[in-house]
Amino acid sequence: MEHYSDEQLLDLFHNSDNPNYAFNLLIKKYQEKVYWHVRRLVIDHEDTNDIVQDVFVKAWKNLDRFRAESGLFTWLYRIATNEALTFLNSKKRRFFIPWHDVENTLTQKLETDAHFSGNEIQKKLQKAILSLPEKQRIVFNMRYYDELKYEEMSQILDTSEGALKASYHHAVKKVEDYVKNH
Amino acid sequence: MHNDDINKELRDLAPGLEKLKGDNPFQVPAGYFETLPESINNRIHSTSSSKKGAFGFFTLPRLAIITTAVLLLAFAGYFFYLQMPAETYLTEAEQELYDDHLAWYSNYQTDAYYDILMDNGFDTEFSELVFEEDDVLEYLLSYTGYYLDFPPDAADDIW
Repeated sequence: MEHYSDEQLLDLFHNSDNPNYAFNLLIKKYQEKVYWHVRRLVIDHEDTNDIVQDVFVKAWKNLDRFRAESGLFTWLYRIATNEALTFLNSKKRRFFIPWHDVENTLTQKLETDAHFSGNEIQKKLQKAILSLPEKQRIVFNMRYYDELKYEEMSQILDTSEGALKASYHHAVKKVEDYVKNH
Repeated sequence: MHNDDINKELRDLAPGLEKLKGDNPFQVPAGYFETLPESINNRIHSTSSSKKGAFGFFTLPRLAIITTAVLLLAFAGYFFYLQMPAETYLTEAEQELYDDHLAWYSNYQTDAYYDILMDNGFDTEFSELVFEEDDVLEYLLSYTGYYLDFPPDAADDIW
């Protein structure tokens, strides 16, 4: 499936008689990347599943207007990040709770999640990441797990590369301290 | 090469974290990614069909709100209309009668003539005079006797 470039997929979507087929290929190409990006932010599998489906529904609705100024992958990441943040913010608003309580809730989910198989040190690493401020957490995940370039992150998050670099360095230091001291 | 840069950066910052990097502690239910495209397609189709059922912008709650607002405005307008004083423009026959009476009045009862002009403005043409409906009736009833006794034609005869 990976042998289709973004340009080929878009061309197939716009110019073939069966855009559903092209979109299906797009889903198969990016579903895992989008899923893991969202999962690391919201932790719970069911929530992630819901968000990922919403991400692709939005992509389907807007793909005919997508002009490829940014990469398809960058565009999908941006939608996914926004959807995940909207989900977390809606939780805060719905229950009138501050961020650190959302962090506690996510940490508790980590403890009880049937789909988490990490050992103690992995659990500690995830708790350390959850202790980061929201934006730093996104930056850390994008660089540490998704291995995105600062340039790509800059396009997704609308933030300068310098600011992202500083944010990542702070985050790495904080996570390291947490893992060492807890 | 790109990954090497990222790993080197991490190694320089926090070598301990680099060692933890390879493992993904999260799991998904068996066969999840095989069924995900179908779930997404189902959601896409259910979203578009529910959208059609809700008339696009006019979703059911919006439709209810808009209908209620329109009904309230209609009722408010109706009651406002009932509260308004009834005004009428004279018919051609009434206008003719008025003109005759005013002509007669201007000759015989100047004060009353000026009262009518004061109410409507001195530069108002007769054809544009607006009268309260009740005033018209009152006027016609009050002066029927005069009219019978001294019709405008009679006034002409007098002069």
